[in-house]
Amino acid sequence: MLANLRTERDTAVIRLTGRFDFSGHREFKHCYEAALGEPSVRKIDVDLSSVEYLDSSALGMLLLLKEQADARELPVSLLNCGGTVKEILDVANFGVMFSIR
Amino acid sequence: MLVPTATPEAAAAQTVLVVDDHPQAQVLLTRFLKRMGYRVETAANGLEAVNAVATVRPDIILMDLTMPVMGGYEATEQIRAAALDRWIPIVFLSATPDSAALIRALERGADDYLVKPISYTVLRAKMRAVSRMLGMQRQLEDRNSRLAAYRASEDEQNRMAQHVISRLANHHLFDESVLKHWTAPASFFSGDLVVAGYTPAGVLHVMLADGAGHGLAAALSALPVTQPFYRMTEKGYSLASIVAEMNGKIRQLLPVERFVAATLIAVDFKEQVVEIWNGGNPPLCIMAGDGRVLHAGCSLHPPLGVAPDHLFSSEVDVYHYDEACQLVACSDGLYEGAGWRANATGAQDLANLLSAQPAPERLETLKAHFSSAANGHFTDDDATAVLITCAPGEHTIPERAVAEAAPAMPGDWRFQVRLSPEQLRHVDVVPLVHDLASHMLCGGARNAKLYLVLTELISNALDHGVLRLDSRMKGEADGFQRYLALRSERLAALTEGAVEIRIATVESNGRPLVRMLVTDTGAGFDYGKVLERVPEVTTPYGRGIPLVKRLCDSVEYRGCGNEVEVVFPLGEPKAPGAPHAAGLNPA
Repeated sequence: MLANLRTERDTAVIRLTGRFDFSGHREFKHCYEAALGEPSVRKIDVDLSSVEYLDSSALGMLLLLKEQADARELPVSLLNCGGTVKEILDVANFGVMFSIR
Repeated sequence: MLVPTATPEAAAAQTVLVVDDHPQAQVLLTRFLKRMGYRVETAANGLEAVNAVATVRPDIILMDLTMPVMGGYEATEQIRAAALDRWIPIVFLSATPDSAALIRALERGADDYLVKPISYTVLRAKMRAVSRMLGMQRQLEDRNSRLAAYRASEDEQNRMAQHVISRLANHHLFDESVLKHWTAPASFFSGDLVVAGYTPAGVLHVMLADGAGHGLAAALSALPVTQPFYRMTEKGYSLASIVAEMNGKIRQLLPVERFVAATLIAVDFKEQVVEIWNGGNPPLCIMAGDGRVLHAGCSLHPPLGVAPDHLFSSEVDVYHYDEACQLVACSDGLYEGAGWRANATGAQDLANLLSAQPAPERLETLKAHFSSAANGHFTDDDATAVLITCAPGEHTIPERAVAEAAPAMPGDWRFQVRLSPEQLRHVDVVPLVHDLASHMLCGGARNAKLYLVLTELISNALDHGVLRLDSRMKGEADGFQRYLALRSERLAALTEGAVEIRIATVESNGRPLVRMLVTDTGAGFDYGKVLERVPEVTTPYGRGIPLVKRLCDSVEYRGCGNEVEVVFPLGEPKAPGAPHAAGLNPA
């Protein structure tokens, strides 16, 4: 999995590509820690448009991000979830925890 | 003689065994090698060398070819045969410069060859090369042995996890005619868990939990869910109370990224009501005998451990069945393996597969389909299916689910509880009251009959008294579902009204008795008429009061019917041969 971080004004956008599972754990953590370390950031968007699949460890990583973002009172949104990714997030009812757009 | 530069980094702590029958050669080589930083041991022939391998454990051997007693070839063969666990480089030293001798030496197990008279420049370079190789080899051996130790400890932990999981599961108590289950683990050890239990009122609780990961991680996730499940089911708590407790326990004990997908099912065979709480699992499918999908219990919540208290919902999905049906719950490993989507579409695919089969064959069909669909594919997730068979009518609960009532403790005690709308909405009243009474009575041992009486009295007071619901509604088409919907609607909107419960011990002719008085703020009912009515087996209502009458010494309605007092016997049943509580085997 590839992860890259881009900051647009007050929004940090983490864009993921490929299969989101435990093998991408380090890249993802690296990205969100950089985003959380940026003082100008007011919200975090995770762009999942190029993610083919995510597993339960990926859901766990999103929860880790959410916990740390909550501590800084930054909202986290999951963007462009389609197909399989949307179905997995729906079964896990992650809409309760994140804004999914 | 060339003065060798010491290479302590390579030679440090390495021991060279010099095997030569000429004392002069031994002395020269020893001096040279010591200057290079090696420790040096000597042997005068092949046999001495073979013995020295065991005692001095050399790292490198310099071996003369022709020696008395035992020559270099034979010594090399014996050393190779004895030291299989570690590699010792052996360098031959020989005055014979022909290639046949060189080949023969290498074939017998030598690693390199030097021709006498020895060039010390070449020897030094060769020794460095051998030391380098040896260093890499030792590192590899060290890593291999650490890996083997790690693997052994991993196996040990898995064995422990498997032991814990098998102890957590209570499969030996399952009644095959009601509950069947099957798991195809991805590795030798499964992270899926199926547990079941009966409440004192005979409601079957089943949980299919899918903890992320395998081994100890999965076992650790299963621990905080199974203990509340068993403890609270045994005390008669509702599914809603149980899931809320589990969610809190997981959040308290596990790291934030760990959670447990779970389907919890409650089947009240007496009321023909199924409650489902599905957090993160594929839909539970309720199928009729002919394969029609009666209900799909989709995941309506995040998995257990995800939502904090203020976002957690313990709301259950309720379904009332009025025909024979089967509940099929699966973990996502099974849906994925079978190629189904984890939503209502997938539930329909599952039903299509099973509809042609009679109910008892369905688990086998599911297994066969999974095996053929997953054939050749690598599955990295456990696959589990649970099938529960229910039908309207009398139901027997396995005898072991009904505990023998413990002898009553002496003592005079009483308590009184008043519940106002907030409490009626949020408190799981019956198990709390039963728990308190049973602690007063007999050290906390549950009493299924007492529990049943409390359930009937309290739910009558709430449903018909405070919420003013008419149970005749249950007899109409879709009435049960509408009754339940109206009940939760009125309860949510309730602003006034109360239920009061008073419980005390009394003694009559030396027999201990429990007197229970339940009062509600409702309008009461014409108890004279209702109590005379003989309930028909086919009507889905009106069985509560007759049941209470069978279990109690006396039942007396007072006032406008908003007050009822019963006297419950402890110890001997009131009349031998009296009919038992609906669905309960003799305790």
